[in-house]
Amino acid sequence: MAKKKFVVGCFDTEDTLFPAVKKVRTEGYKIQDVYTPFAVHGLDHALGMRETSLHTAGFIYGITGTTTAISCISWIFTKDWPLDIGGKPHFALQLGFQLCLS
Amino acid sequence: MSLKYESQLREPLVYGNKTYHQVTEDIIRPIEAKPSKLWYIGFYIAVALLLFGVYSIYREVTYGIGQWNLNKTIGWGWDITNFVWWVGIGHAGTLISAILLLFRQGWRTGVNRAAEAMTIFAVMCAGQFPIWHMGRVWMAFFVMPYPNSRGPLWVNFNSPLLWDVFAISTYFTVSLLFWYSGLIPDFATVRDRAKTKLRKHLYGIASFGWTGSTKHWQRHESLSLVLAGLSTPLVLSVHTIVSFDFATSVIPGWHTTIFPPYFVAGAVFSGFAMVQSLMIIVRKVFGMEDYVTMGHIEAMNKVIVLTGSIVGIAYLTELFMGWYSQNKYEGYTFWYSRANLFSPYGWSYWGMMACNVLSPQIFWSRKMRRNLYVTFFMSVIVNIGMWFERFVIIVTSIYRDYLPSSWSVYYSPSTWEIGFYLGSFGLFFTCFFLFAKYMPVIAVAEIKYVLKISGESYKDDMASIENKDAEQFGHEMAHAH
Repeated sequence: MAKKKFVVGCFDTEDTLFPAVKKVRTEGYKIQDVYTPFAVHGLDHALGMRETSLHTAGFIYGITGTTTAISCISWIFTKDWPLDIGGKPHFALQLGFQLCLS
Repeated sequence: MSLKYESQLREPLVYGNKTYHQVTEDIIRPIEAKPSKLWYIGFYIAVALLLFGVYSIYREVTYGIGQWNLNKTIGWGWDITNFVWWVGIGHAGTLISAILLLFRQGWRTGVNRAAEAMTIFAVMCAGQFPIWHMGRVWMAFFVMPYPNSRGPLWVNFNSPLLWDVFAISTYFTVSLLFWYSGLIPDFATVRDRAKTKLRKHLYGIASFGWTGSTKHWQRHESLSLVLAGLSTPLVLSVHTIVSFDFATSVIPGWHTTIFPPYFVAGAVFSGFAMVQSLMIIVRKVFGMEDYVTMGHIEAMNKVIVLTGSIVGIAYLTELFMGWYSQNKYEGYTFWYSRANLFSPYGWSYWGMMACNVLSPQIFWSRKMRRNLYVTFFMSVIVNIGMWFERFVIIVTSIYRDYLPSSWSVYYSPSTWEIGFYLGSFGLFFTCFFLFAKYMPVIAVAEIKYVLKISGESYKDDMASIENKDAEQFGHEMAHAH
């Protein structure tokens, strides 16, 4: 098996980091990772990273939570213990938030 | 070449010629040093208050609600006043972290951490009041909707009091997550600087193995956007729901349609006042004047004068409607029970007016907005005023109801009622002192992020950009990376 070689680079500011990242990538080397002490915007794009799907996941969880909450409440209020009133969508939404986050 | 350009005209957010390392040093130092004598004194006072509160609650639980001076007519007194007051205070943190994040207001970075911490502690304090007010507190879990052996007997989903349960608990959860996710990178910084094994271990657990990898940052940024999106409607909805506790009733003085916006504005008003009180002390004690600048304080004072005036308009609208509706009960509540200085609780109404509406107008003057002493004094006044507001709304509306035979005698709180309130201060400050000692009070990573855009020394670098013509600058930016 061919030996893998790693090179570690250290940069003081993002001003020198960006050109370096670009150059290394165009030369055809693979960048394992870049560690920074704070969020450097655009670095994920410069490294050619995939967008995170956290937004989509959050949305799906939110929808699931909301649906569950609304259906629970309407079931409770119409079938299980009927009172002549429907659910309260706006706070069902908040339940959804909670589920979405946990 | 900078990543982003900001006008020279804007005041720097970070003063002094800071490097990234210095930022870390400045903010983490208080965590690594031994706490000062002042810290110990403050902490012990807070714990003493907390213990007094615990004893007051012990009395209330053991002997019942009769330990408080509530009666059949004034069923809500100090406790619910305190509840609404604390929830209101809790609003600034999320507003700063969420709404200002979405609006890309750079100045949030200096104060967001402490404001979020304040929010969480304030909501914790707020939660105590309705819970202990239940009397038989061991049955508090009855508020949760779950299939139970009592029927199943469900909670009333149409009751605003139940919405409160969900609103407040969701708000607490979201704020806590927001605050903690921001703390993770900073905990990692403290961990990497740790000198002892125990410290390294504990902060290591707290930082969930954060390395600062680009992937981590990408997700971190994305998460904070998602959380900001979730908490923005919460900022508005939580206090709206608290106002529904009153607005959906049939009590004159409570059932008005302006309650939701009026409560939200009032909440932001008192929340920012509390942030001012805390931040002025924190920046002084920890020497963080370079990070929490006069610019930050001025910005918050602007919010205070705006929301204070909104609240003022709400008060006047209520008075107007009290007359315009020609409803005898409304008129009595607004023009006798409240606006008449010589009615039993008239003093509280005028105290509220003086503290909330008149005195914040001083902040129209830039000189006053940038005066620390005035700001600190005003922040305390505003919080006193906002306490009065809730007291006015609750007590002056219910002490004389529709039936004169059930009008109440003058209500003043018992020792244990006051003790409970003092105890909530104890809880709040105990938490805040621990926070200030063990966690970075300013978001280190976020300050570093704005440093090159808004730091004082970097502003000078922008001068060269300012002199370029727009076309050349645009060309350079397009080919920058």
